[in-house]
Amino acid sequence: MLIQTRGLTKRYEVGGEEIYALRDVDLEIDRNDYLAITGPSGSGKTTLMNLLGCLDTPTRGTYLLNDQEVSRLSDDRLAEIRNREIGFVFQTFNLLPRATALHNVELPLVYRGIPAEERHEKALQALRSVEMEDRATHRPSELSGGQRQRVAIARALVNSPSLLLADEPTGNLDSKTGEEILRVFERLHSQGQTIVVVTHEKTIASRSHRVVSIHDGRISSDLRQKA
Amino acid sequence: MPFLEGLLIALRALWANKLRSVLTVLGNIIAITSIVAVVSVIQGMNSYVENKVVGLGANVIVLRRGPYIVTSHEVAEQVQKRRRITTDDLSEIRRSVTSARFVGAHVSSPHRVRFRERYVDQVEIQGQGLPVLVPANFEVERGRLFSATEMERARPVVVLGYEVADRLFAGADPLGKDVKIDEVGYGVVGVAKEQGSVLGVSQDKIVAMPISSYQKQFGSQGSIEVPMEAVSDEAAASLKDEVRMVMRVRHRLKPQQEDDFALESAESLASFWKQISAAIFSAASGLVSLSLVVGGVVIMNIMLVSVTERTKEIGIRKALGAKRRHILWQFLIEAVALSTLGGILGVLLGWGLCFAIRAATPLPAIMSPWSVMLALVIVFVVGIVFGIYPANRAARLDPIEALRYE
Repeated sequence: MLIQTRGLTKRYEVGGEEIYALRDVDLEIDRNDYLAITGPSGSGKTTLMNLLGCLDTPTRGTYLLNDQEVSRLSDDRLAEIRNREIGFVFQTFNLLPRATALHNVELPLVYRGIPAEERHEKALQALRSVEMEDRATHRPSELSGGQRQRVAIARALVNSPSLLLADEPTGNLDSKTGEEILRVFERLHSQGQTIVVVTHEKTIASRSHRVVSIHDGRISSDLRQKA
Repeated sequence: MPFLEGLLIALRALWANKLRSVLTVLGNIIAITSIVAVVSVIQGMNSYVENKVVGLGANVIVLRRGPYIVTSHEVAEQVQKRRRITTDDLSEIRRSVTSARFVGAHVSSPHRVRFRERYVDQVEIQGQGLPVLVPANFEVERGRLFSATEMERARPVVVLGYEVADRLFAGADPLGKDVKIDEVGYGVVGVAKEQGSVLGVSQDKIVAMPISSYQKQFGSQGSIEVPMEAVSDEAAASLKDEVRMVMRVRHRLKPQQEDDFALESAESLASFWKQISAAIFSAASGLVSLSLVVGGVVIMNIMLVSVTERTKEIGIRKALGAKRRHILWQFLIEAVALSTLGGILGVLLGWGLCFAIRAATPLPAIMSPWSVMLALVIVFVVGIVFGIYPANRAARLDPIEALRYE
């Protein structure tokens, strides 16, 4: 088991009022699962993603990632977990605009303290795996949306994370390019990568093997659709 | 994250906003330019005062009618009313003072020096005793100094200053030639070594002759100076006392009366200069600290802007595993790099200013390595002090908030 949450709860206080963004979520994710989290906006799926991505800590509940309790860790320890265990893919790509594709992919390695030469090597390898090696010296502004997302995927994978966490990965792409990205995900999954995609699009969710729906901060359904 | 990585990120960020970067560090540039220029000028003046303006060797004191540096009109008038220092005073000092190794004599006035149809005006004609104690670095380069016998007999012999020899003889050998000073003939026995100039005044436009010969032509009515060299460092103070007693007795001063003569030494001149330079320095450092504070606040402000502008970038970096200290370092290094950039530009500008001062004015200016070091240490500290707050703010940003920022 890669992920196990128990009673995961996130509560905000807005103007003296308590709002539960997430309430008692129990979720288990196996290694090499390909899972979609869906739900309408405001359902709490983004909050769940932030918690699973160790960007945030829960108000209550436990979160075991790789058998390690991570729900009570300090900022810096969480940064370390994100660096090693989680690869993020965002809707808006979130590449550094002034840095080359190669440098963008190198970033997680920089924060891991990998020496420059090895970093270079690994980043090129990651770019090669998404067929972007020939664009290594290009800046994001010189790349198409699909190419940017490939670079972002390379960056997410460069530290060989346990979990690839994608937030609306095709939201800013046309359907043809979106399809390409989904095929990349499928290939990665077939190679053993655990993937969680957060999306509100049914068509994207339907490509995964398991769909978890969130409503009002609770899991409303959990369906395995493919073997 | 290695330091080099942080530095590269910082330099890239600064380069992306070239104009803004330079404008931001204007305060630093001005402050450092002033530090470097002021220190250079003071430094230059210091070495000048020590070597040249004072012109007195160690252990040398000079008996004069008044001090070298007169700071008010009243004092100048009062000095004019004092009794002259005469060759009789000189003889008495020679006879009775025990702590002097040498007792010289010195008197001078400007005159025209001529060789055939060439002449130089306003040459400082110096009547000198033996040995020559003032100026301290006086040295005969070619030929010889006048002898004791020539001194005794008031022979018409001269040692030409370097510039005088050069202008009158234009490369020809002056030794053995006759020059005219105010139409009185003198034989050239030597040429002095080149001295250079002090504050734009040539020290080589001189002619030295025996003081006896000087008084033969120009009369013995002018007050002379008596330079004396003490037998040792320790004897300098007692030499001063001895001369003072001799002169007070000769001038019949009562115990409560002040000295009506001056005893000058390299120290007394240098201390006067030190007072001036200390005043300049403290005024300058006040101005410099002010502009550094202004410069620092501007850097802090622009770093806060930079942190806000790059909130998204900070969010991305954090999502990818940057810890607080990584972000802190990144922005701190950027602030220090920015501040140091201002310092380096300031040093270059100050260097240029130093050259300009030297070229355009007689003020000497020496660029000293320690002023550059001082400047760089200062801007480094300014960068850290004013960079820590924005950097800390960046480091504490919540990754989710930062990622959401557009």
